Amino acid sequence: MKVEGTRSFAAPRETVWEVLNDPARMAKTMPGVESFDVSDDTHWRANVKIPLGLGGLSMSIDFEKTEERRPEFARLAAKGNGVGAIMNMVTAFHLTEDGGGTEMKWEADVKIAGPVGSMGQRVLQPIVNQQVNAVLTALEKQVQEANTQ
Amino acid sequence: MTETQTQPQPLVVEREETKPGFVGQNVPRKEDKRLVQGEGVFFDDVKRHGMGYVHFVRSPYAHAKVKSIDLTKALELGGVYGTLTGDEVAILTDPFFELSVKPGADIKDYALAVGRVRHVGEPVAAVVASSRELARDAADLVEVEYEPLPVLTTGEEALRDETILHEDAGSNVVWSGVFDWGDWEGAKAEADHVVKIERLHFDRFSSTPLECAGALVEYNRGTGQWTMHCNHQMPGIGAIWMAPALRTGVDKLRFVTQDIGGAFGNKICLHPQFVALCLLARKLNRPVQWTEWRTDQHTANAHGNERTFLDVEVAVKADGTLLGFNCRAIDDCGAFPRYEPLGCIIWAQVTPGCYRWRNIRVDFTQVCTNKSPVSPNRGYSRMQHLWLTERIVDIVAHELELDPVEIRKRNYVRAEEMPYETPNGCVYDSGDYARGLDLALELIGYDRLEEKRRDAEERGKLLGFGIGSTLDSGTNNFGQSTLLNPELQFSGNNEVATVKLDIFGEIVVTLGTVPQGQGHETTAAQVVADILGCSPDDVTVRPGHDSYWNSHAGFSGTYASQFAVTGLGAVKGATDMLASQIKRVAAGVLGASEDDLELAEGQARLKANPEAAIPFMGIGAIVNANNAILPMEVRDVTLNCRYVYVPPFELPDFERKFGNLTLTYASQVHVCLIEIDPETGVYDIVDYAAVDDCGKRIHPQIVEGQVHGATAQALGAATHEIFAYDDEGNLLTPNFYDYHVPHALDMPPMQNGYLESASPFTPLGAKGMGEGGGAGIHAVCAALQDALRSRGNTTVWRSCNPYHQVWQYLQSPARGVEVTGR
Amino acid sequence: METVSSKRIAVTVNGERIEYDLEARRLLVHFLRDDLDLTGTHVGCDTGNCGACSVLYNGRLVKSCMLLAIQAEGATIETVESLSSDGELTPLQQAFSDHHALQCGYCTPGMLMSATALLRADERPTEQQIRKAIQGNICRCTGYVNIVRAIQAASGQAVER
Repeated sequence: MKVEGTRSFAAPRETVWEVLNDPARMAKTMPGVESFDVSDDTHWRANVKIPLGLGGLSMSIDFEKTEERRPEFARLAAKGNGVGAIMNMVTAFHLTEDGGGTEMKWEADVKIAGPVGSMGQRVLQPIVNQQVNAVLTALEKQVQEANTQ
Repeated sequence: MTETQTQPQPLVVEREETKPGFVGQNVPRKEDKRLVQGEGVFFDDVKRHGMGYVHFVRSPYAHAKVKSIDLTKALELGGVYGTLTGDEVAILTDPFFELSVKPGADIKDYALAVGRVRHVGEPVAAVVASSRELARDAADLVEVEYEPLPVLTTGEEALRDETILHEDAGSNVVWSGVFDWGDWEGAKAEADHVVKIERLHFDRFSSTPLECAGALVEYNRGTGQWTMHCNHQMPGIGAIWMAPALRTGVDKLRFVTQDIGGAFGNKICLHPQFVALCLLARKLNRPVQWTEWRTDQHTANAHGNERTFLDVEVAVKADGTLLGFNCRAIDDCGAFPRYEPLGCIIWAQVTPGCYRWRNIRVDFTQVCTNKSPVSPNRGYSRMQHLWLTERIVDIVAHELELDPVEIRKRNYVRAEEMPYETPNGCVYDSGDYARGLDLALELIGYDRLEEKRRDAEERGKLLGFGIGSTLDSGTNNFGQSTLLNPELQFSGNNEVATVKLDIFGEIVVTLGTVPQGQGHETTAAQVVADILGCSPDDVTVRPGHDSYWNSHAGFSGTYASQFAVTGLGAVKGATDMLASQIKRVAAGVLGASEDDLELAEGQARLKANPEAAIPFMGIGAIVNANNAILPMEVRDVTLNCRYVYVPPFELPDFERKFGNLTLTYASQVHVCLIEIDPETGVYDIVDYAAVDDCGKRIHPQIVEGQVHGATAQALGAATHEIFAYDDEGNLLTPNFYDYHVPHALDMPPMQNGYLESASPFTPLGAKGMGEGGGAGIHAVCAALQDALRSRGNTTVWRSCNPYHQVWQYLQSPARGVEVTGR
Repeated sequence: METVSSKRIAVTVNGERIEYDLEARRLLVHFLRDDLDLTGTHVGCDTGNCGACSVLYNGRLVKSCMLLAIQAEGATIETVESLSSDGELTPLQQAFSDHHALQCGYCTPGMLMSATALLRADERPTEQQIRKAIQGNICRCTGYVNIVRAIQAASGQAVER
């Protein structure tokens, strides 16, 4: 499943870049994060619970930043393992200055394998969209916080 | 207290003259008593003390490298007996025998994935534990690391060979060839019209038998003998695959089956899983048991062939005479060929379908994709081709505004032309398709069609009428495999039966077949009873199959609509031998000649004086326990007769791809009436008639049951049953929750009619039947096209048309048809 | 909430009272088939759609693959083995045979239990009611035609042809 979008932030590009590239801050934006673990600048792991079915789907996701051109572009690869689901995701974001603020163009290619994957796009797309929205909303908050500091 | 009904007679319309006897009657089925009491023995009912339960670890990816497998945690779990991985399999076994020429010949196929997985659900490792639940727990603890690879989900994509699934083969093509009979170019030149159909697609589905696959496997270390209590429906071929892979002899693989919960061709390619079980039973020195899950059957057992027909051209005369057709076919056989590429030739048994055209050209290619492997699902390969011929005839009639009934009658092979040699040398033995069509039209009230259409319109519905004529070719000549690969050493066919008369007069029959509900015990007893002059109740037919009975041969099994010919042919042969031996003994004892004797009422007696009789018990006792009283010349009698039925086939001609590929051709004509709600695309099959001609019917009720069942499966495939994949190769219909099969309320009202055009080529005049040739699919497609004529005149281009597809047709009609001509 | 991993239950199966220690997660169908050797009840799917596992639970038709065995505590279970005694077929079973309502026999126990539940509730069901009663039982062999006829016959009604 491919998802993409654009979002504007009322903050300078440097600020948005800092937030996006701070694993600790990113962990706060991701919904259902129960814990996370930073290995180094480009590798970290998060343990999340995604709302799916009774009790939610627990997954541990390994992130790796595979490409970076500060402060305008980064690409991440994520690999998640959970019961009945394996997730592979590549996501990238482009930041451009827009007046005093920043415009972020982002895209993600999410692949789900395993029994959960057989539920098909009709079921999974809304969940992916919901997760994306939650990330963007939380990201907005994080950026605002960073901006006022 | 309810009344007990006598056997109801089915609606018989035409039959050949019947000789008095049990053959042709609806005798009570021997199988029923145990099955209605829940006393059948299916493989999962068999238990062994200390047996381990097997659960396979399966790939979640459609295509990936297997980087590592870590069994540590699984093995630490209490109650786990052991494991098996692809590395072990690669060391302990040789790859399975491939039927194709290069490049398909170089494919390496093992019991478990070796280094790579090529479809979702492919077994990667196996764990064995003390309970079903623990085995599943242990499987969850196996850690496999995969590196995903690009996924191929369509045949056309696979053809480009950008991603290669089997590096040893170097191409995704399993087999390709051009079949060219008659003179297509000449036919095209002679035609008044050439109708071009861009694309037709036969969708992927299968008969999904209610009982899943499985086995309980034991290994005897002292003798090296494996015993498999299982439901493999073609043990002869199963052993041919498994024995070389396991580096053992065929006799070391004993298949034991009793009752099987449906198979329909889905239990032919079980050798990979069974080899894994054999290795585990030997490694762990304990019996191991595996029962397939429904999800695993849908994802990773076997589908029916998916076939795309492109650039179909049809040469037609102005009066509707069909001269021939030309097309390209791409067959998608999934991740591993296994029984393929036989599907690339099996369709040629019915090259012209029911029609007389003589000029046919097919450019056929089979490719691997990252989907479940296929196996010979009910109607195997002929169904896909017969659908093509029926769609062609229907679309041509539609485009040229010819009557669908008239165009068929004009072009059907005629009864008086039978036996009829097809353009590629097959011989249609008998049949009267036009009569079948007339009968079907009568049963559905065709003369009132326009009235029904107006009535539907008043209710806001679109009425459609469709015809589906088809053939059920049976008893195949395995020599057709040499047309694909001239180095294969397969030809002809065979089946075995034994009949013996025991010391107390019991008549006992063993079969080589593997029944899954077709009533072999019953029909075999009918044949025996008529020859020996006793009652079917006096005949014991051992249920199921057992290699140890030595009552089987290389092609033994139950498949391809052949039991009535091969199985019963063997039974007849063995019983004739026994009858002759009984008479010889009686003649010796009574001092008469064999011609003076008859067998009746369970005795051998003088025709002239029925009082001078020896009951079978007496005959059995003399030979088995008292043979010193027999004249010397009769002492070679054993009363234990084994007969191998071999149909009269020859090797086909490789150069011309020409020869007789099948012995019998049952035929079916189905018609249906459909009403579509144009607001939603939802449709109902409001009326249905099925006419079947399978020659002499041994047991009419059994024939009718097969017709009902085949129709239900065809209607499922026509409406909702489909194995749909997403772009990642995930199967979206992996269980009965998503894969919709017909339930009781889904069945339309159905009328049945029968013809009996006896086969001149078979021992009993019967023809194999049961597969049904997909007639329901052809009829429904035709009816939908008819109904949608007034709403955009769409071409119905695919075999499965769920409601949302009909909605699509209504919103944006698919044409894809062009007519050129003078 | 307390976690239960195993339990001892007392249940009446086909008229016999049984006490058994069970893992909490054991399905009722596996308890019947594997622990009690009542192999007449069959497993045909893993999502509760096919009905091959149908049994009567306190007189109600249930899918035994959709119940945990420990949920049968204190209940009365009837399986296909309870229908006939001493090999004497009941009129329903005889009707199934007479009308060729079974081919491979795998769905048959489930069909018989559904039919039994129906006929206990309604002695003379219509064709539509019969089809509805077996709607939860999948058959791949018969197309349901003869099964409906058999149940009509068993209820003493004329068979639709």
